[in-house]
Amino acid sequence: MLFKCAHNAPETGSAGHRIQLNDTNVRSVDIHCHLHVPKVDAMVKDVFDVKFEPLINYASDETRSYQQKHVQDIMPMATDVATRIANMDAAGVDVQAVSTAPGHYCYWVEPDLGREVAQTVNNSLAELVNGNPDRFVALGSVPLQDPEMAVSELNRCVDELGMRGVEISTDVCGTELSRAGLDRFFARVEELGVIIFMHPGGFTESARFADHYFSNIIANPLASTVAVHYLIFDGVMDRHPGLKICVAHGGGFMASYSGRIDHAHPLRPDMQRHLPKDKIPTDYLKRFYFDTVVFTDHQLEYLVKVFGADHILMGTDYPYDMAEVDPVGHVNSADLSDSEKAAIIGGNAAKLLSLN
Amino acid sequence: MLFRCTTKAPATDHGHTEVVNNGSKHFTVDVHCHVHVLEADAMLADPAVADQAKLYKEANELTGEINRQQHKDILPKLTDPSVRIADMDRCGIDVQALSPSPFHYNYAYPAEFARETSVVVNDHIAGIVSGDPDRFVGLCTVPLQDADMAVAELERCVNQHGMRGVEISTNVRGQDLTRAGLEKFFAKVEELDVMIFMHPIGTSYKERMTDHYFRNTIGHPLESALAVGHLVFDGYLEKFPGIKICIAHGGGYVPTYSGRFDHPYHLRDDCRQVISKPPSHYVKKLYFDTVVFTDHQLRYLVDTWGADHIVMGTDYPYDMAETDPVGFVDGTSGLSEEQKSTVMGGNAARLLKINPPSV
Repeated sequence: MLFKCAHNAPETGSAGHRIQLNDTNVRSVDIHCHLHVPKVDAMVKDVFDVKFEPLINYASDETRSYQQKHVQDIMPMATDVATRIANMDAAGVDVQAVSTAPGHYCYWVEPDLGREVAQTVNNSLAELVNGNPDRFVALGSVPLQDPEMAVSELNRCVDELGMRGVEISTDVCGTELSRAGLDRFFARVEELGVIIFMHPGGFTESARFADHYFSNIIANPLASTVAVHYLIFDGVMDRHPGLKICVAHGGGFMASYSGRIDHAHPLRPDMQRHLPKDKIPTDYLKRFYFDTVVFTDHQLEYLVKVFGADHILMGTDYPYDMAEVDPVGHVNSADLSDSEKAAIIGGNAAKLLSLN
Repeated sequence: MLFRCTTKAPATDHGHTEVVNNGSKHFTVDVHCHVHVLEADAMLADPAVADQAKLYKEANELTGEINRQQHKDILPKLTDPSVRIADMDRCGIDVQALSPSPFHYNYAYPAEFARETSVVVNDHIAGIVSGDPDRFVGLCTVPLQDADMAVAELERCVNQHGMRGVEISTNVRGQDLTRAGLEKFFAKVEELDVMIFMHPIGTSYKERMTDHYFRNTIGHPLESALAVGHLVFDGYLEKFPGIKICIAHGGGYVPTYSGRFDHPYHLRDDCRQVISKPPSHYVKKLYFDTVVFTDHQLRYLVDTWGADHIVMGTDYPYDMAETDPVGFVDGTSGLSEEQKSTVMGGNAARLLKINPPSV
């Protein structure tokens, strides 16, 4: 039988069966799924400017109108707990590690409002988790436009709300994560031992991405690719060896196209400013984690082959149409050993998110 | 022992110990290698044209310095056929399919001027080919900013010089190839049954790629992704079913992340406005070179798109070149001898109408 959670799901090519493993104790965890908080939309309504949201700003009229209807269609999935749990059951997902809808980052608003937005989002996430602690853990949102506030809200999320990590975007309104004064934030994440789930909200300069939903299907993996490059080449990964970052959408383009940086780096001093010649860029890339949202079994197998099953985590992108509707079946369909499948479906997430 | 063909070649980690000498094992063709024509540079220095286009601007000072020094260092390789042939011999390359240095596109200049530089570049490449027709075939450059001129120069190069294809960039002054009025150009390429070799230069998304050479390491595969995306979703590969296009640098970002194209096609009207089949159906029609540097990615390309769509290349003589192209393919685990032969030269021979020497 084929599990599906999106109402407009296509027939997938994956095998579609719930995993059959000797180790029946593995709980399946979805590392990539979003919660929409309507209150936040109201909070930023008066200051909203489409230019801050490249996913919409650079989209064609067709995409904008499609998207508007799509978001309306999925609103129950995005907001209602019972619908969410029913979909998890249908898809064979035991636990969701819920993060905010990327539209709620709001790094473009004044810091005070940004903090309020993050707090509102995080309180809603905490409420969801408290109602069903067996089915949910949360990844909080922080106002990255103000590093001190980001650290404070991170502390509150972890210490008071019991969250297992944070979700951040790939840049702060066009400023690279490595250049936005966030060293203290990264240090604190490292110290707390929680994870960063890095999820883009489009790419800042995107005039050629207007049609065919390129504003998402090319721009999002590009945004992740640029972010990972800066985290490596600006030395953030080197300065914070304990950082655990899971990159959405299979790591964007970066994870499946990694040879170019290793080739260029030893030859070019312009790539060695923060990364001495004897370092190997992909040694840092291998420290990242990537989700399974790549849709093909061959790419999933490739990611496992290159980065190891212990660095790949099952995700969906629930509740959007760009979600993998059969996440367990997708992993199941790949040519992987049972222990690799178990790690990807839930074992890795259990460790990284400190699930009992 | 490890053979290297560029001055600053790094030790590779391909794990092989020798290259396969040209002719001794498989017929080998390098589909991705460049020629620089100093005469065309000199034309750019003419003050009458110098201010008519935004000249190439370095990403940052250090990158500019490195690139200028590199250009000086490799100039003999870029310009002198005897140096080139010695390098080919050392690397086990039987035939190079010469394409112009991407710095010769000149799409941002007035079309008449770009036509003139194209003629100079193409005639020069034709001269190298006729000097050693067993070792070289030629790909031309055309003034893409004017479709009629592009068609005329393409016809001249194919009919008069016997060129086997044309090298083009991934956009024309920031306009995507499918939106630059180039239908008649693509139709002519298809009719003449020659190959397009698509090679980017920098990227139109410069702002966030100034440091760490990202305009090349990210910008190039991104540009190819945008070009492939538009060729696929704007229906050009449906409209021109016979067209043969080889995408540099392993095809850029799309061939290793194709699921994100197919998934929304099944769901979203905005992803199937023009095409009638899933995007990967069209991606499958393209050819990709082997310039990806890791054996795992090359293996993935072969497994996913078929050995008959992967074509050996180097990016000679730049620092971003694969310095041991034959050893790289030969050392990739899991490829059969037949697949290796196809990738090393068989496909290129078919696409570029080269007659391999009889064994």
